[in-house]
Amino acid sequence: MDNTVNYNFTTKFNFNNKEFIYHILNLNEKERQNIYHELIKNCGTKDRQFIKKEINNYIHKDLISSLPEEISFNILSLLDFKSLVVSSMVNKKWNRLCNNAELWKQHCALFSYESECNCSIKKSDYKHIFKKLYNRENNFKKKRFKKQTLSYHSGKIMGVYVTNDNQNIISLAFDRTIQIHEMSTCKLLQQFETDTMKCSSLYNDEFLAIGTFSRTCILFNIKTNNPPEIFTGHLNTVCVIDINNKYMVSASLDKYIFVWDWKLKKKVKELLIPDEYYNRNNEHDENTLFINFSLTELKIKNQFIIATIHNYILIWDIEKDFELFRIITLPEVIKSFDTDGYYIYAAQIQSYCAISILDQEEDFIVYENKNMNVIYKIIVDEKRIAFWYSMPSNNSFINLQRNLIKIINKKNHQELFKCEVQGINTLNINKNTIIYGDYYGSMTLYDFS
Amino acid sequence: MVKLTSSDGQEFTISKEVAYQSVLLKNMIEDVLDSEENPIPLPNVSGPILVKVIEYATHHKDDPVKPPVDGPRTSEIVDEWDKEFMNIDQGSLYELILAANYLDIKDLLDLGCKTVANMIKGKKVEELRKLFNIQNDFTPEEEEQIKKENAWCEEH
Repeated sequence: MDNTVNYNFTTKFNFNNKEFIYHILNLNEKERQNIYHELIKNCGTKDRQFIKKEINNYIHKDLISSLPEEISFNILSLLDFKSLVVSSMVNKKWNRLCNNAELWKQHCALFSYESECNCSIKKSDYKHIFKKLYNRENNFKKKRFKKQTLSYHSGKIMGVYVTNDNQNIISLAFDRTIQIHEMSTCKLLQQFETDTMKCSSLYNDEFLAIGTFSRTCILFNIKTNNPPEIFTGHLNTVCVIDINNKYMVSASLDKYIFVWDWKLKKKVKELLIPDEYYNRNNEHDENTLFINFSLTELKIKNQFIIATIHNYILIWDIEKDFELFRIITLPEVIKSFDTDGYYIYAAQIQSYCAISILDQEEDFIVYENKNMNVIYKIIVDEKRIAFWYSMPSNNSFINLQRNLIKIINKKNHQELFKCEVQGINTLNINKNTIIYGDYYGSMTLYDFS
Repeated sequence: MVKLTSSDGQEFTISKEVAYQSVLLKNMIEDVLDSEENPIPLPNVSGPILVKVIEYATHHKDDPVKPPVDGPRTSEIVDEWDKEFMNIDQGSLYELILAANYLDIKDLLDLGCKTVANMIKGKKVEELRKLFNIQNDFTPEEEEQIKKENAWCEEH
């Protein structure tokens, strides 16, 4: 190099002397660079490695922006959602990378229901969706909800449903009406007059099956104005009913369960409950026989029809021509049950248990709950279990029962929500809401969305 | 044995067992018969980084094949040796990740990604900018907007 400035370091400066460093720092840029260049040129491999190592410690490299995007995606996918939110605020490039929908999709699974993930979500919306799900989860945690009392009916509420899109409330009452209201405005959208209802079941927010005291099953398509289909054949009150995409099952005081193919509008199977399962508790009391003929509950889920009576759970397999697949005997009377398709959650008087449907070897898991006096209703979904139960009053002079609703996490059985309710007659939950109907024709809605 | 040459011309001799940790090297060795004679040039990997890669591959050469992990991935580094191994400056970390990606050593790449993820986790925005020497290129209005959009996450 022509313009190399040669310094005789050893004569002019002592290496330990700070003056040397100050001298260099006071030179102009060109001169400094020349010195550094000369220094490095005269270094051995070892020295160079030392310099590199030392310099590297002072270099702060943007590891997200400088790496290929598939690697930065890999890194960002390892972050928890809070760190991902913070990262998205660093600069424009990080913002773009951190808002990648695929990253948010995996976090959505944390708080969402399977059905919510599978439904047609626009890809770009995953972060937005996550925010909603997160808020809902937080609302549950912090017990933040909007409470609303709705008085639409003049008779006791027999069934109530909130649609999955959180838009409408469908309610059935002893006043022989089915009403559909818009949740946000409380506007009556539709009303059906019908027979006196005993039980109901809603499929896909569209098909509402009811069982009546007039021995009929009636199927409404509540999205259309078509007249309802009436299914006759039972000889007594239809006590319990359920419906899925193909079948409607109904059980009556006449001891029969009927399976209907509701699209073909015909009965495909009759299941007679054997006499031995009735009247276990009342063998000496002929007068109460009639009452004990009724099944407590009936559900159809996947390929199984499940019914409970006294302390028995009976399961029929649809795919094996409705053959009686299993009978499970519990120690106590079953007050209510529900199933997620894998387990049956059966509420006994003061405990509830989870029973595997398929695995006959698996032991029941029994959850005792001393605080619950009697469990009247148990509802399960993918993530939660809801109870409606009673507690004895503290006031021993008045033998009053206090009714409560409690929601717990299905996995760890931690309490998510609890409240005392009055005059409850029916309870339902969905992903965002808890709703109950009472004896006086009112409904109370807790909205966590 | 296999001979490798780094980008700065250093030559390394390693056992096939160690080399096979890299999918790229495995394919190259199987394609070229006399890799013992002719060194494989690695123009994308510098000497000091190749030293690190070989150190990693030698340490893990006898590891059993890991079963695929179910459920969400986490950035937790279980192995203490791995943790200590990744205690390096950002420049080397960057080069090591690129080398693992180029040589196709999945476990090392994962380890690198986890290390970076752990550097990010739990930090505040300003801390991240400082740590990675990043200029805030948002206008004050944009920054306000972004803060607003992400406000839902801060209430804890």
